[in-house]
Amino acid sequence: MEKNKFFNRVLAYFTKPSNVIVVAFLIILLACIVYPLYSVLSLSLTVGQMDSLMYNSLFGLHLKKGSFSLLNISMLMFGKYSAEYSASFFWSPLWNSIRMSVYASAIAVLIGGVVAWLITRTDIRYKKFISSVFVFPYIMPSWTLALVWKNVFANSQVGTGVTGMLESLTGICVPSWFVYGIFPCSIVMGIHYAPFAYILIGGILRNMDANLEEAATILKADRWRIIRKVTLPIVMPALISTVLLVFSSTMASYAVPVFVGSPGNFYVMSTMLRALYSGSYSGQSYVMTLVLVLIGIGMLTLNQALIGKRKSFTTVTGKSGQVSYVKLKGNKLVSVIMVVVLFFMAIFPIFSFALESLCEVQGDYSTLTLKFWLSKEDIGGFQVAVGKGILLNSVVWKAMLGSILLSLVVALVVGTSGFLIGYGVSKKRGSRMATLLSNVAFFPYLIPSMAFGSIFLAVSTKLLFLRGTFLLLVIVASVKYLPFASRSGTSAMMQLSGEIEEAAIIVGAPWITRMTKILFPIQKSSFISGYLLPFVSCIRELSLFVLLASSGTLITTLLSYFDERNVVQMSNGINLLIIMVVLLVNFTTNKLTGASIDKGIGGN
Amino acid sequence: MPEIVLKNVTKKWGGFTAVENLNLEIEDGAFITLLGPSGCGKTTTLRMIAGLETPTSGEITIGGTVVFSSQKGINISAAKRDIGFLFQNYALWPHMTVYQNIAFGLETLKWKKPDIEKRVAQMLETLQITQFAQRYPSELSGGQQQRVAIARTLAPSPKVLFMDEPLSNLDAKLRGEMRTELKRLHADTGSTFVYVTHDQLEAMTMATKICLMKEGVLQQYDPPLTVYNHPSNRFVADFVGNPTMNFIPAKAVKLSDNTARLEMLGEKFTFTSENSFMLKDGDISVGIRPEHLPISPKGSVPGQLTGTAYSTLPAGMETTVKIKIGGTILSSVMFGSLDYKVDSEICFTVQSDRILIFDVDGRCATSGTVTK
Amino acid sequence: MKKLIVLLLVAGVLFSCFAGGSKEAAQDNAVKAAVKAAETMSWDELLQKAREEIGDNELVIYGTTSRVNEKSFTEATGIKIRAEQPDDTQIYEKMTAEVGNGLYGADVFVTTDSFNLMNLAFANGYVENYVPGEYKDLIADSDENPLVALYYARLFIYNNGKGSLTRAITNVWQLTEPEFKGIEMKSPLLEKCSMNFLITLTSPEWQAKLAQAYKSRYGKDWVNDGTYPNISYEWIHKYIQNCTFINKDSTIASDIAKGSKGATGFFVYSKFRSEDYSGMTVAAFDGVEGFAGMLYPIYSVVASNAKYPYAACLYINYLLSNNGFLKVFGKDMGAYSTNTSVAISDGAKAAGDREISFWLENCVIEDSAYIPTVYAQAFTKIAQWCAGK
Repeated sequence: MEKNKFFNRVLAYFTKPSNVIVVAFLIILLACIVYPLYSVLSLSLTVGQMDSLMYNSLFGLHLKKGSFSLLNISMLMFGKYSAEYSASFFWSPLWNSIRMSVYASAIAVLIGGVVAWLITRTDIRYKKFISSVFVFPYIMPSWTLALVWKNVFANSQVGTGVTGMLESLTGICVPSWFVYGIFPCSIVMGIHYAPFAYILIGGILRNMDANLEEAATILKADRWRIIRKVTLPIVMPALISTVLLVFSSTMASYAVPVFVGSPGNFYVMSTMLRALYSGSYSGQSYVMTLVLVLIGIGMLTLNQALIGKRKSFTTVTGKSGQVSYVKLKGNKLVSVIMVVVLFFMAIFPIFSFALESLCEVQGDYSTLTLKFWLSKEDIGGFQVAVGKGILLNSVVWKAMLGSILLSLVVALVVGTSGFLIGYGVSKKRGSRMATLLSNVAFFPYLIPSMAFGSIFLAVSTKLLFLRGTFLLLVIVASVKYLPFASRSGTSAMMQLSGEIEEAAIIVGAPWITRMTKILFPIQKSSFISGYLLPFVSCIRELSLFVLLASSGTLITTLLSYFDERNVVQMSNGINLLIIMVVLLVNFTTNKLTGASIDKGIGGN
Repeated sequence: MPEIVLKNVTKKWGGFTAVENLNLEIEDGAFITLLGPSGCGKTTTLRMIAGLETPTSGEITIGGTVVFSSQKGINISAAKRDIGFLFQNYALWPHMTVYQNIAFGLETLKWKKPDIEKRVAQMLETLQITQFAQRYPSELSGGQQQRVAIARTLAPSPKVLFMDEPLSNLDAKLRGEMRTELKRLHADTGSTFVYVTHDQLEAMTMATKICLMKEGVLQQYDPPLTVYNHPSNRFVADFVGNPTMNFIPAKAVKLSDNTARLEMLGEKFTFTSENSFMLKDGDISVGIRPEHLPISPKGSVPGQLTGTAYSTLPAGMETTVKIKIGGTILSSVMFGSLDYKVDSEICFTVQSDRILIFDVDGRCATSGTVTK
Repeated sequence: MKKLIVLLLVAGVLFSCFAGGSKEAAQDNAVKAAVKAAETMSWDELLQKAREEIGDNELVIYGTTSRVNEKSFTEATGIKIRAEQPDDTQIYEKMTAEVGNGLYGADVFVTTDSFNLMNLAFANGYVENYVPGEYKDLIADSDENPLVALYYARLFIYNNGKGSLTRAITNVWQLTEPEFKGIEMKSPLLEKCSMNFLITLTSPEWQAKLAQAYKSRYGKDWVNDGTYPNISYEWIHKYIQNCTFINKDSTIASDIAKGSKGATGFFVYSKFRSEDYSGMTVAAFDGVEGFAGMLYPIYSVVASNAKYPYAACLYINYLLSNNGFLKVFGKDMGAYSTNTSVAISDGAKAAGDREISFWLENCVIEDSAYIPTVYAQAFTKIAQWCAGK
């Protein structure tokens, strides 16, 4: 009898799709995330083989591989070896990382937010152009922006005195801190993630009822007061999401700080994490990872605290049809400035990739040739085998198709999961399960790609059926990129009032119909960006896969192969190819569904 | 002071014309309704006056100040037009409490804190929402949100108040109450109200003048009763009044300056107007309000027409009777509760000096009486 | 709350599944035997054995250098190869994950970093050392255990202002002076070879050489005032203070080539060729007192769970042969076979490169015997200096 009652209750619980979703995803995610976290924790509290050699020699101990020890923590953080060591490897990089991430988030939110506002709320010109080009910096790997930065600003007063573009055009020499160090790192990361802010904030702005701002206008509030008192608080959830994502991404970013940071003696946690990892202090690198995760948890908690429960953000009652654009003063000037800035941020790097891939002799623009694209013969003159031109090179194509396939599968898995998680979380909003799910889904983001890949390598040696398979790559990437989609899915779902689905329940539409015919189409653009963002991230990801995929299966491994071997024509060409593929996918999606990465804000 | 004048105002979106060459004068202290079916340009007109929308061409003056002129390139922002605006969906700020919502406008005007508190308390009381002051909008019902929106709009005592279908989201009973309140508020504040609605009853009962629009073109701008009794065309006649006017197809032959012979409902009538009128012989349509087709016992009055009861709709105070005569179904409204058996015989007369004649183009030619 | 507990339990069960599958690394005696047998075989015998063994399958190589991808081995032997190029750290990580768990991944490792090779790979029996019998006498004993297939040179190279600057560096202590501020090199924190180079410098042998150079530069003996454990550390510390860390050799090469007169970098000699090298001078040719660069070993070893041990040995044998070296590594300057009968290529010679004997005299050679003895102390100290710059 009692048993029956319990059974019935469970049954009743699981007849609601939202409950099934929440429980199912919790289980899957816990399995995929708790294990890596557990590994990080246990690895940071034990000594590895190399660690034990180091510690035993340094401190005269007799630790065995795998034994429990707090040495990782005490040496890294608390001056067990020397105060200087802890300061150089931990505290100063920690402080640098935090500063860089704060600046980068601020820059991303500022640039992305302003552009989102200009596009959705003003009569700025060239909207379509700005909107679609503005996402380019996100599509490009971040280090390519750093490269552009260096090529533009390097000058005869800095480093070895290579003359950059700015100096050769204007004679202006910017100081050293402008070329190397925290300044370029923050700016480059900020620009790289600005499209992200633009997408998230723009999405909310576009869906936000324009009447809310007009009501304030009528009450004589000036533009600034409206932005401050009405617009900002309403886009706050998107803003905080952006800050959270940009902050965490910047914390874990490696390529840019190494490229323009370390020449200026600017070290961040990810640089030191890698240094420790390859420098026989892997235990300490896991402590570092753990700290990164903890900082992320702190950010998450802050996020929760900032968005109170009572202030409901269910504000979207549909689409507000009549948005009146703010008349920009000096519209022409602002528009032209935007286009020029965008040219440097987005078009110029692509243009330079194209140009570099056409130079017979690197950097010599008088030796233009198409052979790196079209050569039917194997290209010689390099220390390594290059093969045929990019477009005829079977290795390139195989890797490109591999990457596209992987990214598509990952995008499908992640996008759909994000949509479902968003649904589950919004339906059970406020419940402990929902909060847990939305937080757990964010976790993979906090673990640096490198550590994530390394942990899954260890997993794959235990679960042999996964080892070296495409499925493993799909799983790793799906878990890693879930935060994008679950964030955009959740915020999109949160904006839909429950009545919209209830209306469909009443007419007897089954769950699947409600999802595909009602909920998805209404917030289509948000959800589709939940598919596109993982696609973009996945197709240009390297460090996550480098241990798991054999070389030549993915285009980025090939890119780094040519890049490291200094076959810049090929690496630039492949980079261009990747960007083109992303743009093509974006374009196709746009034509088929009307949605796009930038959601065509204002452009349509 | 705040007389509002629109001169040749046009609004186009690409190829679509939302408002065409609109001329309108709104007197100080008036209660104007912009009436029309959805998509007729009434909301756009309101938003243009308020400054939320920029007209494509024309000129708008509020209280003698030109706030918009396409010719002079003037476009004063909504914030400086000294107006209030009540949105259809209320547009309450979800992140502010009721108190903060209402106080916002006053803070913007840099009122002193005690003054703000006093004014907000007063508004809360007037609208009977004092107990909700610390709640967030999502924690209120539709009616309560509506009141908060009104309180927020009225708090700075605007001289002109614009309302965009503010009652459309409320239930019928609440809507009725709010109508009374708004009319009372109009009297109390002495402000100019411009009110957008698609509900003709709302327009009839509340407005001092109705501005009826169709597809962006002004149809008629007159006091409610004028619109009711002397609609300028068939569209207006049809839109105003409930149950709607009967339009009976007829053939007319002009007899003299002010008389014509009408052939309708299978009978011949003589139409007489007090004034002379112009009418081409041929197909016309005769407009008769339901209350002008009184039912009477058979033979009790001369000139009776006979039809059958198609359906009877008693509402307590009055009854709408649908009468089938020939191929046409007419509405008749009678005081009191009546009930006719379906298909039973009904005798009625055409009894009014406000029978309307519409020519083939739908223009109202004249009004007058008909006799059999 | 109950639901949470249930969930955690489920997660726990899943863990134990993960954790339960661990296996002891199985020592593959067959590989050991094959490697031993291969040592006495001639090229032809080995080739035949390898072909029988591998048939139409692929020999898998993990190589820290891209040259392992060279197809000439296949042309010479008819054996197909698949080469992957993870970096050092990744090679050792994959090795630990695969060989350590008894899983086949690769047959041959071509890698650098003596510390990890000795203390991780050999200490755990993940790899077997193979020295081809026919070259045994031609390879120095110090290069045989473990087998160094070749050396790469990383050198101090400076911009000579289109030939207007001569004898820029005559003494290695100059590199610690303010004039040389901004020497570009890869960070020892992120690159093992650079770290091992500095660690090797702390050996008594190099202390003596540095002391000699110090005296000839400053005209006095170096005195230990207690700031540094020995003279090498002083040089290292001051040198690091003078460095700018750029983490790609090709970037450094291009920075020097396009930079201003006197700009100095420390990068692999092979990148010299990628740039317009008429504008750059290799400091070693000036005759630098002390040292002019470093030679770092590329080790080549057989995985202890190799599927095709004979083919693996054949591959290593090939790398040490004249033909193999020239085809795989010898096209450009900066690579030197440990097989003393193998000379550098004509191309390299034409570009100004010299035989290994010259470099052995002028460079610091990564010392796989010395490094493990001081690694922990030296690494930690130097790393701290690099990080605390």
